[in-house]
Amino acid sequence: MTTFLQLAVSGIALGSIYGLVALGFLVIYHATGLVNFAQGQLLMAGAMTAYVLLMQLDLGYPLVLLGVVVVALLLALVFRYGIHRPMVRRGAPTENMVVATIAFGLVLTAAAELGIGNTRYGVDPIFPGAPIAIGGVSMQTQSIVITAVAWVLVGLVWFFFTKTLTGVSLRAVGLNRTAAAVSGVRVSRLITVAFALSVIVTAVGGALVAPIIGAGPSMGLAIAVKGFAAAVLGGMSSVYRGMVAGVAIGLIEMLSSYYISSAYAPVIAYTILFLALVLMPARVRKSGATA
Amino acid sequence: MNVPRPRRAALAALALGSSIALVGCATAGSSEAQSGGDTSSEGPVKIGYIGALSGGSASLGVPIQHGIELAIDQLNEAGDLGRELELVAVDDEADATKSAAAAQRMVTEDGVVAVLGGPNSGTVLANNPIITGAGVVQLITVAQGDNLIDPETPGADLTYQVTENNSYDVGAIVQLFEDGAYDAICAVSDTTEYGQGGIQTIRTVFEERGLEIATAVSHEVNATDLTPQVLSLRDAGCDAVYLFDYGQDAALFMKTVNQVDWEVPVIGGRGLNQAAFLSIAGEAGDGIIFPSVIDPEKASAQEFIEAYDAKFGEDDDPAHTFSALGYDSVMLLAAGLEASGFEGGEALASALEDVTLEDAASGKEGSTLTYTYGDHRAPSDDFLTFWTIEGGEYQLYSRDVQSTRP
Repeated sequence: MTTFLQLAVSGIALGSIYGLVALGFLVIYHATGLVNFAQGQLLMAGAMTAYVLLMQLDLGYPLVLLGVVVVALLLALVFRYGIHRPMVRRGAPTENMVVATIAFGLVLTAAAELGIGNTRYGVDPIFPGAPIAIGGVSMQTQSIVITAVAWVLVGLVWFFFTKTLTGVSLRAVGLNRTAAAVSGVRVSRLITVAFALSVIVTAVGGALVAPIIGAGPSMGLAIAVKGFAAAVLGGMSSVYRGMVAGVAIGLIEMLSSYYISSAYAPVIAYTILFLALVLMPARVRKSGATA
Repeated sequence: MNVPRPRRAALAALALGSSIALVGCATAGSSEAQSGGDTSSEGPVKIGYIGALSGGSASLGVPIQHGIELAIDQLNEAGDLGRELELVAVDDEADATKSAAAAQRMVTEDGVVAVLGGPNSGTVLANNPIITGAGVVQLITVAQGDNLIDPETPGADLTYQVTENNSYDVGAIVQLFEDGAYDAICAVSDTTEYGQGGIQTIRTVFEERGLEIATAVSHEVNATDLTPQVLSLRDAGCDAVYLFDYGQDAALFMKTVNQVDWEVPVIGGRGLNQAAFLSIAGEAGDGIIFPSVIDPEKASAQEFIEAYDAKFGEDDDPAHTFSALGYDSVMLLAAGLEASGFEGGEALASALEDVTLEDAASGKEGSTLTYTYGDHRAPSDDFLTFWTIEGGEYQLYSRDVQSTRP
C-alpha cells in the first residue's frame, strides 16, 4: 500500500506539471483556435530563466519568480505582436500559424543554446532540505510546491475565466469573435491577455520543475507532448479537465511503470489515453467552454 | 511556383527558426568540394568531428569538441607537425539520420582527412559506413558500444576506437560487485542504444564472472520521474544497483533513491562523468562509484586539466573524462598524419597501426593508447580509475583498479 501511495503522490506531482502545460495550450486555443507547439520551449524558457537568475546571478526566489513572469510576458508580447497578429492581419490560415509556433519554438531553443549553453543544469529548490515523509510516503519539498502552485494557478485561471469581466469576455471571443467584437469587446487586447496568461503559466511551470529534472534547452518537448495529450484528453474545453487529465497521465505513467513494465510505460500510457479518447462519449469531449 | 503571401510568411518564420537552430550545427571551415581524404600538400589539414553539440547528449559532445579544439590549438601553436590542423565540427544532435547526412557532407564536400566520431554509439553506427565507404579514416572518441569495432564489417580497416568499450568498463566495475558479495545486484538503464547495449554487456560479463543481474529496469531517456524504477528495485530486494545511465537521468535516479530513503550502494557507468550529473544531483550523488579515464597523479593528465580549465573554465567538464578522450583522439590522429605525410585513407590507416601514445591525457599512469595491425582499440590494460562524489564534488575513489582488455 505504501508503494502504491508513493507512486500516486509522484504521479500527482508529475501530472500537475502536465496539467499546467495543458492549461497553457487551452488558454491560447480558446482565444484564437491556435494550437501553440512552442509550449514546450516556453516551459524551457521559464526553467532556463530560473537557472540564470538563481544559480548564475544569485538572486532570491521571489525575484527569480518575478523575473520568470517578466521574461514570460516579454515572450508573450513578441509572440503575439511579432508573429501572431501580423499573420492574422495577412489572413494566414491556422495551419500556417501552427507552423509559425514551431518556428518560434526552434528560435527559443537555439537562443537558449547559444546564450546559456546546451547541457542540463541543476537548479536549487525553493525550500532546500530533506524530503518530507509521512507514513512511509515521502516527497521532495519541490514536488509539494509544484503540486500546490499548479492547482492554485488552475484555480486562479478558472476564477479569471468565470468570475471576472475580462475572463468572461475572453470566453466570448473564443466562442464567437465577431459577435464579441460587435458587442464592444476589445478582441485584440483580450487575445494579448490570453497569450500573456498562457506563457506565464507555462514558464512558471518550467521554473517549478527545473529543481527536479534540471534546466536545459532540450527539456521541454517530452513534457509538452504529455501536456498536449492532457489538453486533448480534457476535451480542449476546460482548464480543470485539462488539469485532471494531466494528473491522470502522470498516475498512469507511474503505476504502469511499476506494475506492468518500466520500459514500455510511455507506450502503455499513450495506448490507454488513445483508448480513452476513442471511447469517450462525444458530448463529453465537446461540452463546456474554457472554464 | 506562386506561394500565397500568408504561406510565405509562415515559411519565412519556419526558415528563420530553422536557420537560427542550425547555427549550432554550423561548420567551421569552408565547404570546398574535395574527394574523401585530404591529398593537398598545402594549407591546413581538415579534421571532421560529428557529435551531439545540442540536445541531451551535448553535455558529452561539447566537452569532446573542446578537448579536440585544445589539442589542435596546442599542435598548431607548437608548429611541430609542419602543417596546421583545422576542425570541421557538425552537430548531429545524437540523431542517426542527421549524423549520416553530416558524414556524407564531410566526405564529399568538406574534404576532411579523417572524422572523429562523437559520444553516441547509435550515431557512430549510422555514420561509419558512409565515412569509411568513402575511404576516410574514422577515430571514435567516446562512444563505447562493443559492436563499433567489428572486423567483419567492410570499413573495419579504417575504423579506430580511442576509448575503452563497454565490456572493458564492465569488466573493471565487476570487481566492486565481487568485493561487496551482494546477493541481489540490479541494474537500471535508459531505452537507447547506449542503455540497452550496456545492459546486454553487463549481463554477458557478469555471467562470465559467475554473477547475475537479479532485476533490470529501463526508462525513457531524459526521464521526468524515476520513482517507479527506484521502487521496483527496492521492492525486488536489490542490495546493490548498477546505474548505467547518462548524467541527468542518473542524477534523477539518485535524487529519488535519496527521497525514498533507500540506503543502497550504487555503482555507475562512465556516463556519470558529466557536469550535468554533478549539477543536478548535488549531494544526492554522494557515495556513488564509477569508472573514469583520469588519473590525477599522472603528469600528462595534470597538464591537460590545467590547460583545459584555463581555456574553458573549471565548470565546463569537471570530470575531464570526455574532453581528455577528445584531446587524445587528435593526438593519436596527428601522430598518424605525421607518419603518413598527411595522406588520408589507406596511408593514414596503415600509419595509425604503428602509433602509441604513452603520455596521453587519458588513462592511468603506465597505461598507453596503442594501435596495432588488426587491433584498432587503443586503451591498454590498467587504463581506468574509480571516482566517487563527496560533498557534491568529484573525488578519486581508487587507483587500484584491475582493468584488462576484453
